[in-house]
Amino acid sequence: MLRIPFAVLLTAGLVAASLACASDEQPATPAEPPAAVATATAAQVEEPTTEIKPATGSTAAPPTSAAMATATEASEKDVPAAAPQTQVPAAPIDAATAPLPATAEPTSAAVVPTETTAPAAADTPSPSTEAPAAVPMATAPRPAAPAGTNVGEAPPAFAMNLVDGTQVASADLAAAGRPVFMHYFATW
Amino acid sequence: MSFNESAATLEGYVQQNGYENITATQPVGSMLRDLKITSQSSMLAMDAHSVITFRKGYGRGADEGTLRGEFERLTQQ
Repeated sequence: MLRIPFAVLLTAGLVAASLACASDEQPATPAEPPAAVATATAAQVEEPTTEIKPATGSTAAPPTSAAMATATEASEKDVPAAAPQTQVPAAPIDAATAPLPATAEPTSAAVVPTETTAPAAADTPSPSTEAPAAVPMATAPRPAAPAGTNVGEAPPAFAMNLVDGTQVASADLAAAGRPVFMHYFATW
Repeated sequence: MSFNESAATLEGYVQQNGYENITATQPVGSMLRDLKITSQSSMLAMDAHSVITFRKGYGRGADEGTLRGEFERLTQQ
């Protein structure tokens, strides 16, 4: 008889694997974001850290708060560009920074440089503490998908017994708010 | 890994490498029937909203590259 083991591959595991490969290039970022945040490409994650330290370590750091690791390069380029300028071209700056994630303060991106110039020293510890903040992948509600087993449908609830004797249910996997990959295979 | 290695071997490999993969050995209830898993090896991917975005089985001619592409897409969301 066939004995059928099942392997459920959580993305965090595979993402962690990819990070392990990328960490060869930058071993000094162990405290970097958990898996969800780390989905931002390694190149994007590296650039903010390098820019923070050498270039205006006290001024540019706060704007790159861990609000989103997905902050694009464009946003980082806007920060130094806006720093020398006071606020005369306020409109174009806002327009450029509008597409930023901007969780709480959408317009703060233009204001950040001015804030950071004054309390530069006070903000220095914040980037290190904010960096590891986790950003859940599923934040925006989505209309309920129809039940079913095809692509685009929500599967029925299921559960399985793990190697260690414990049991995991689909609700447990869904609670993680991350994609789930399941691979069914048999050994004999 | 080879075809004749057990789930325990797989679990050991996962632990050794620090992966978070879950290795299960037995379905509970009618999981296979409910999810319509009819062949091995079958793969099923769900996004962060628990909606199926991919399902294939090698027995039906799927290629792993497709799953890898789906993996990349989901993890970039």
